[in-house]
Amino acid sequence: MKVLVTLGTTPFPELLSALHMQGVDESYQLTVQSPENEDASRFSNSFQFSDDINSWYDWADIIITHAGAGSIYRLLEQNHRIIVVPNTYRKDKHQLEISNYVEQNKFGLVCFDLKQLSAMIAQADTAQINSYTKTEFLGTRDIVNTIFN
Amino acid sequence: MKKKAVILSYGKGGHQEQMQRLVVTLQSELPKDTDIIVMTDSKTVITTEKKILASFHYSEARDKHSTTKTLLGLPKLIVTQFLDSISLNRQFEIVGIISTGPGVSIIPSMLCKLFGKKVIAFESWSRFYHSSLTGKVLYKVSDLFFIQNKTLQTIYPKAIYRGRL
Repeated sequence: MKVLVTLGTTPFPELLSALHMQGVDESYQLTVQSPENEDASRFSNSFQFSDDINSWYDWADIIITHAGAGSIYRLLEQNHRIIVVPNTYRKDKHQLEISNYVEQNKFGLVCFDLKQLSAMIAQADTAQINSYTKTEFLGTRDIVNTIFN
Repeated sequence: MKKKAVILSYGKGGHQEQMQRLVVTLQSELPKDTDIIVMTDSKTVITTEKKILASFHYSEARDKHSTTKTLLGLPKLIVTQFLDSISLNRQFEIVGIISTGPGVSIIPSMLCKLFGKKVIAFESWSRFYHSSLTGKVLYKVSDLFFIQNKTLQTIYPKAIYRGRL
């Protein structure tokens, strides 16, 4: 099984340490996207940024993502199978809100406890998940009318 | 004659993603004589068919791991943004500002309000149950405030929901 880990623009060393300690690199075909190269260099395949992240998304069977909304919504819109890991080490805890949203709607799995990460990867392939439907934004005309009226 | 411009203010990551999605639909709706000015804490700039007249890069208003770093960095950010905003108003005819957060948008939005320009703001799409600090401030100064999750309507009664970017 191919597993992609994507951390977006904010380092998340605790998540990478959990992956390393739990031997995920040995059990699966793992690729890590991390904004800090030093953190990710311990894994057999890693990169900092990609101009074509969608190709990596398509490559993976399971995607482990930080709980940044941009990454989550894009992945859900493309119907990928995801494990969301909220970064609770940050000063602000707002990633918990979208993590709860994903879990409550069963759009993906959510790993609140990093000790459970490898167990969650094992069940991600067969877990029952719901598809996400985006409600398109229709407020552009409101913006133009407000500025130029 | 001064060139007309709307300021787009956004942070990196998901904030930039929201602005990028908005610009895709907004750029064709903007008048031909109105271009764009970018104020961001992202190292990359959104792509748009519109002309970007100027682009300003700032440090993040809020350090993700340290309150001390946040407090130490704020005075410089406030002064720099204040001076840039004054300069922009002299150079261009600013018609308004659109913000998708976070803190990098607060000072430019407040100054736009002070100068009588229109302020449009979005609460982050990651917010479902609680307002963000930036959202709280921009809700008070904005002419139009969008929420992207209906669950926030009780917190922001005057905000409007038009779907999600």
